[in-house]
Amino acid sequence: MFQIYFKDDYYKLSFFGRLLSRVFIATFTAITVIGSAVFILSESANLRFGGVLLAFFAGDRIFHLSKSRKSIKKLPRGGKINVADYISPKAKNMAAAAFNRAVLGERDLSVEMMLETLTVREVKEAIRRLGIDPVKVKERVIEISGKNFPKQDKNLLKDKMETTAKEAFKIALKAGERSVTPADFLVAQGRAGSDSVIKVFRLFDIDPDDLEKALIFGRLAKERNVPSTSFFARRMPTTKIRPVNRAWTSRPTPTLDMFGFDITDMAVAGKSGFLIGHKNEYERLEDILSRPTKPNALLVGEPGVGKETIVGYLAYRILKDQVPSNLFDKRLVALNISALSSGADQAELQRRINKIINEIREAGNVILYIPEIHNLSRTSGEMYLSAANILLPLISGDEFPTIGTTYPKEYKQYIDQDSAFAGVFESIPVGEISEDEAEEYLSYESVVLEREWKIEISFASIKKAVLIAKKYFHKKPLPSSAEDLLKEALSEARRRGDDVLDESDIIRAAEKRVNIPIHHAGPAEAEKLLNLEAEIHKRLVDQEEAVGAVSRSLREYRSGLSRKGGPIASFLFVGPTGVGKTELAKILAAIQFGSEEMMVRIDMSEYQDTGSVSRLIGSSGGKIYGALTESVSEKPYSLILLDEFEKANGDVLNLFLQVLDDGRLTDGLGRTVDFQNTIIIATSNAHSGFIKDSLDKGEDPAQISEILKKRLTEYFKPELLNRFSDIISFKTLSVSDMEKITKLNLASLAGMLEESQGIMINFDDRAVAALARQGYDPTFGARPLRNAISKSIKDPLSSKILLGDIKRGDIVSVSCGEDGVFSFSPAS
Amino acid sequence: MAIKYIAEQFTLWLADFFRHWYFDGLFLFLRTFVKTLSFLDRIFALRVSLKNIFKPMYQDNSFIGYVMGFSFRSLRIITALISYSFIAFLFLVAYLIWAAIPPYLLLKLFNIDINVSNLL
Repeated sequence: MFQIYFKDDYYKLSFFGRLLSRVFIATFTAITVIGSAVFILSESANLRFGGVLLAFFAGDRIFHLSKSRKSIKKLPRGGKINVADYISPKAKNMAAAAFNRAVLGERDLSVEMMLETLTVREVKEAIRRLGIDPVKVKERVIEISGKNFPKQDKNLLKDKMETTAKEAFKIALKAGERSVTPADFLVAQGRAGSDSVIKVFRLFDIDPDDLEKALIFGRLAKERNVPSTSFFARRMPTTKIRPVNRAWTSRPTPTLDMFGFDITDMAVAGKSGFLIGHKNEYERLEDILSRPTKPNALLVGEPGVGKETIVGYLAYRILKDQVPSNLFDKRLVALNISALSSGADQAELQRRINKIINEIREAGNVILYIPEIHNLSRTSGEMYLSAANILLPLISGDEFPTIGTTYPKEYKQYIDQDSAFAGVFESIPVGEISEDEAEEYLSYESVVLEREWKIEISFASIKKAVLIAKKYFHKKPLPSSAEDLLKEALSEARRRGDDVLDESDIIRAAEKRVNIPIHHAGPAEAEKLLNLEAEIHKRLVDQEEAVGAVSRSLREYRSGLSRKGGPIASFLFVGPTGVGKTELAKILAAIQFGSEEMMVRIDMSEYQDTGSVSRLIGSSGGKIYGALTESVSEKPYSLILLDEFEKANGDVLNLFLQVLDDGRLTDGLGRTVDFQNTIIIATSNAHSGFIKDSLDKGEDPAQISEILKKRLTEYFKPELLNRFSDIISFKTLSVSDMEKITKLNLASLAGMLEESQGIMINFDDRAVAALARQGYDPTFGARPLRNAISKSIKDPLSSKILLGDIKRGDIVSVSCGEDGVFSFSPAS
Repeated sequence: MAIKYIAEQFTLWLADFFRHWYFDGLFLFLRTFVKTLSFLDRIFALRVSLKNIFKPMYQDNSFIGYVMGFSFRSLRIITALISYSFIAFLFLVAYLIWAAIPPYLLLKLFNIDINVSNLL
């Protein structure tokens, strides 16, 4: 490993010294060019030879004018390296100019360097891709540059230059560039610059890591041939199949060629694929395939995670002989199982498979690839079952390497259960790539997409797509989920006629899909949130504590201040029946989530036995549907109402420890379900008697809550109770509450009647009071009210409408006599 | 100080010229030579033919298969070696000419005649 240092005598010169040297360099180059022309055209033959030599010298100077003395791509294995030899002339001039100004003008060296780099096209392009106006950045930097700065010792400045140059060198080395460029100096400033520069970066929200990725655009935009990220998307239909290998040790495999396709031949014909991430999985694959015993690998991962990309990359490496020597000259052939079994009875299938296997044995240079290998084991078709019985014993003979791919659910269901099948392969779990890798992948992909869609893609939109896909779209892994979102946004942008794709386009496309408000709250929504209590009280009477708690939690969520991890909010509503617990949940679902249908209601009294856990999260075989996990997967932004919470089995309650803490739950198939965009409301009637008595005695609600929490440990574990955002006691309803509730219900009935029948109806105070009395029960709360309205109002009203006593356009007044009988009379 | 720096720069340029001409030039020739051989090896397959010289032809394990395998591969190896040697000779000559250009020009500049036949 080498050591780096920075030594360039240029920075030791005085200002005039640097000026003189630059003048000399420019003059000398010009003289060399002119001199060579003069000598070549002279009459003296000797001078002509001299002119030619001078021309070579001049040509060498001009050719290397824009290049560094040495190339980073040809670093020595060890020893010391002078970073100055690897800095491009442009970067060196820029650094020198900044150094001059810092020395002479008492300026901040980092700020001056940043100012210089902002004139470079590549840098301006990268900053623009981050969604930031480079002109504004430059203006800000000029502003800071003009401020007074204490005079610094020249040696201190040289030390700073050295630190920056070394950092820039490391960045250029990582990017695989030939020289250290001004862009590398800018990224270095973001990491190791002065406080002023770091402030500028923060002011414009420029992350040095993002800037590094955004520079990809600037670099690749110049190139004609962009590396292909999608290996199989560009299959060449006229790919020539090579019958034998170069060593003539193999034989043609006509039957295999009929039911498969040669991936290595596609690597020859297609563009070079590259791999981002999955380095460990690829190395493991190579190791397994190149070993003498059991050279069979099984890639296990969700669809779109990159299994095919890894296989394609292997084909590319085989082509380049960049694999272990025993994989040289091999053919990687994919077998199409459905084509193999199509139109064949069992005997024919057996014949085909045996022929293929014999061909592979005789060829001796085939690596067999079976995509979706679990199809061999599916018991849904007799054909598939036969294929597994025939093929697996042959594969297990270690005569040729085999690669299979499958999904985690299918692996558990079909392969893991079958020890013979599982024993043949060594599994390699293929996980999702990281967000960083996904951003890098999409940066490359975007260069291609830009050319196809003719829409510029900002780096901010790429970052947003990855962030949103990671957070909300779990059905597909990265980078597929982010790529899909990006393409959807591109489609929308094209429809609108936009020529630049930015963050807001991504947010719009995502919100369309998941119905979650990802954007920042606008003025109308902010108004609604700020007056949420009043909005809720239009439909719910009293219960101020509960209404206040849920309103506060929603305001925190939409302003981005809610706790990260965990649901939006979780509440335990405790109180007697019929006092509004479920009603509040419904109102909240309608106001915040758009509709009462966005409420997932689960009656926990149905989950009283131990086996009911699988009914909530699904079974491991996928046969039992998980009521909770599937509902949240389909509606990630919703309200979950868990009624009769105290009645659930202890194992079922334990599931909610993780849900309330991390906002995640693993279902029966091992998939993670995200609860972070849900509000969870659990209701319970436990200790409602205690609540009623305490409130009747006029005790402080806060104190009642405290005592209630302790008492609730009789039903729930303390660690579960602690995980709720709040435990709220619901009051019993007073007489005036009942009258208000009655009025709300009657207003709703009046509205429905006017809309459907064109009949206006009003109720006097006596009618309201009578209904309130009828609708209230100390045990059932306001629940009987609906029944009372139905019996006393709806039933007689419907009879009168049917008899024609009340017609469209009539105004009806409803009152109640002392005998409790309701009268319906036309109003004047 | 500046004069010293300028003198150092001039020396570096001269040194760099010869470094680029001979050192980088040599690597350029070598890289081009290796690329040419790699391209030809896709046809002649010298390395894999040598590795598998005693293996039967097309997995035919009979006597004929072994004889044919050895014969055809030997023929191909010989053809490959002759071709590669010729290519190497061409590249060597090209590089020698390349390397001789600067001293030749210098000698001509100072009017020093070289008799190539005497040299050989």
